[in-house]
Amino acid sequence: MNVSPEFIEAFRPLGVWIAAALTLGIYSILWKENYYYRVCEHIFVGATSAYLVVTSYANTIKPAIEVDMIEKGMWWQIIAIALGCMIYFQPFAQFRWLSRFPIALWIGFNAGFAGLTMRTIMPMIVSVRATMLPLVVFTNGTFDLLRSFNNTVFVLSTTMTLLYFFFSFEKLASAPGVLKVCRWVMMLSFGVGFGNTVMNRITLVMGRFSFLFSDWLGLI
Amino acid sequence: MRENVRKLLYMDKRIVYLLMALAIAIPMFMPLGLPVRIPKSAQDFYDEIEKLNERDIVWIAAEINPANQAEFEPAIKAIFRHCLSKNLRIAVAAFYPQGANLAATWSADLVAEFGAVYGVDYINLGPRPSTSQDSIMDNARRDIIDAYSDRDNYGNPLSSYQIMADLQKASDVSLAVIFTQGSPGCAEYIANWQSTGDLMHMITVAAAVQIPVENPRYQAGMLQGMLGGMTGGAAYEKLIGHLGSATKGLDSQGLGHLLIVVLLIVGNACYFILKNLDEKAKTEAGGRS
Amino acid sequence: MRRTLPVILTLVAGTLAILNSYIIFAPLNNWVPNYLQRTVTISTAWAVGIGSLNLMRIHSARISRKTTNWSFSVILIVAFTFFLVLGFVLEKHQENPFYSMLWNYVQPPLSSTMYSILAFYMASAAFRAFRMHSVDSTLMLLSAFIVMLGAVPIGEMIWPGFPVLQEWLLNYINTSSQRAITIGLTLGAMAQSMRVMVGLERGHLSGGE
Repeated sequence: MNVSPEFIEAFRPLGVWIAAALTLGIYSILWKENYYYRVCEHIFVGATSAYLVVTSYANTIKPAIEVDMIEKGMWWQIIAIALGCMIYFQPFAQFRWLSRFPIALWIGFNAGFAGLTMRTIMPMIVSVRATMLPLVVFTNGTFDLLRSFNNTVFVLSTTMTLLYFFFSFEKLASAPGVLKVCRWVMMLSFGVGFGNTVMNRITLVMGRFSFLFSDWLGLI
Repeated sequence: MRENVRKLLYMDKRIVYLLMALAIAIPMFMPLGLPVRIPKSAQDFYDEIEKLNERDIVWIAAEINPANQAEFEPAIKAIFRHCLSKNLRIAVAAFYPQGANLAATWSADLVAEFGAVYGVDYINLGPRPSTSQDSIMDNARRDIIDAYSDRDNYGNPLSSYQIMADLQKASDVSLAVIFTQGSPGCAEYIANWQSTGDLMHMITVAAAVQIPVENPRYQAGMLQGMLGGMTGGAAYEKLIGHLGSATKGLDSQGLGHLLIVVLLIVGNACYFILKNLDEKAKTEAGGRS
Repeated sequence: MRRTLPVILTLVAGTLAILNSYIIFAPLNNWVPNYLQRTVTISTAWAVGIGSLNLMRIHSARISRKTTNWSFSVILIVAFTFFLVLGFVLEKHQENPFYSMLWNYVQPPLSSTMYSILAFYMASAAFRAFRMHSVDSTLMLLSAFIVMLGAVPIGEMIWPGFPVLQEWLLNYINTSSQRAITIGLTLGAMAQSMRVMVGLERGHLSGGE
């Protein structure tokens, strides 16, 4: 179905009103629980779910059939398709055992492929190496107090956080004050995470307000 | 006084919602125009793109959720502007279902402005929504056309496009710009392309919530640059000399943060005052009896 | 057999994936990426509909039993069906302007708005719930203050030290802590992967006979 650019342009104001109505519908929950919000919420879930299926089909399944199977003659991929379709037996109690095979393949392959190869090990080695900073730094022959202090704090914080989750030596873990200091360091870190989360959420509100005031109402 | 503090502490939460809405909306009509600071990570991000030669290929991993439009749209536009002004070539791909299409929609104006030709100057490989992104990326490491089943975002044969002659595998890419808000994101690209030595140069545009997670990778050198949230986007806009919506949004962001800080202080102050007053009242009542 | 064979399959698939990484042997290095890995990729692509199938099952059951608020389930199914049929019927939906037009005015606004209401809930929680009860919570809120004010120009205007402190907290305290957590997670993931492969962890194979 092809539509003319004039139709698209004519539809645009209606589209903006639909988007604004849906936006205000979601925001109505801030006033109180209501039917309007529930309608918008359910449209969201339904539409997103459909989009995922359509995109997977159009971008992965259809090219695999057209190119790999039909053009290149890789008909053995029917086995892969059959394995993938076996997951659909999961809702049916009598045939649920069939769905274990594709799950076993995915979990097993990814456990080996991503869990125990250089893909996991290399980033960890690089991270550990980057933690090993010099504790005493000299810059141009003079002792650099700031960098030495920062590096010391860095190495100590990493060690303390690792220590907090190290349960193998009970006596070390129960030494007075040690865990407390470790926890304080982690709390400072979690505060940073919280601050950044607030930043992210406020940005999202700005985006919606920008749409409402600019695209919908034309006030800015 | 106890009653007043109690009323303040337990006031209708819709008043707080209204204050937040006003804090974000007012600067949109009355901008403060405060100067933007450029953090080192944003400068490094800009420098990595500046270092590239003409016609080098930049891979944009558009792991974008529509929810993060306000953070990522200004960054995508600025990156396209920067890359196209330097005559770099761009390949857009994603594992998020909406990522590739959102990147295409947001960059459409820029592409038209610079007269970029699809298939020659830029290409959209499309999304591959899948739980086996590691497998797809590993395949793309060796053969991108095969990994994407020789189809771009619009169902056309990839091999028919001129740009793909120079984009056969991951090592043909000069720089990867990874948009990240969780998984999939930098971790997957570092694990599959950097760990294998195929592509060492990666920079990221991280959603603010992801900054604490990506900063260690930036510090370790796995990422050579980082734009964090809208503030990073605003810094980048300043560096490329073209201010956009990220810069305009900083005032609202600032006032929103200030409100949260004030609410934290006032809420805690009211709580401790009330606690103190309640204890005093209990002591007095105990003394009388 | 119904439980044993999948466990064996897990072990074989994982072992082959590991061997392919560590052994240079042409038949293995050719077979694993071109057949086994491709099988995993294609089978997971075909399985993407299971979530939607479950969703439709649950909501159809609500409609047939006329449970509380069953009318919302009708709306969900209608929305799902509408976008599904439209996506399949329209050729090359990604570049079809009609589909893009309908899609861009529905899902992205809903998605953005859903996440953005969290900002309001955060503001309410900041006022009513976040309390500096102890040293831990005080430290956490203190670092949150510094980060929130240091990240924006208004904070720099209040006190120029905020951005400096914010960067220090991010680059030294947070980075070190996150790194330690990541190292721990990585080691845990490796151990868990090994346990899954040898069949000590079978949670993913539960259900049914």
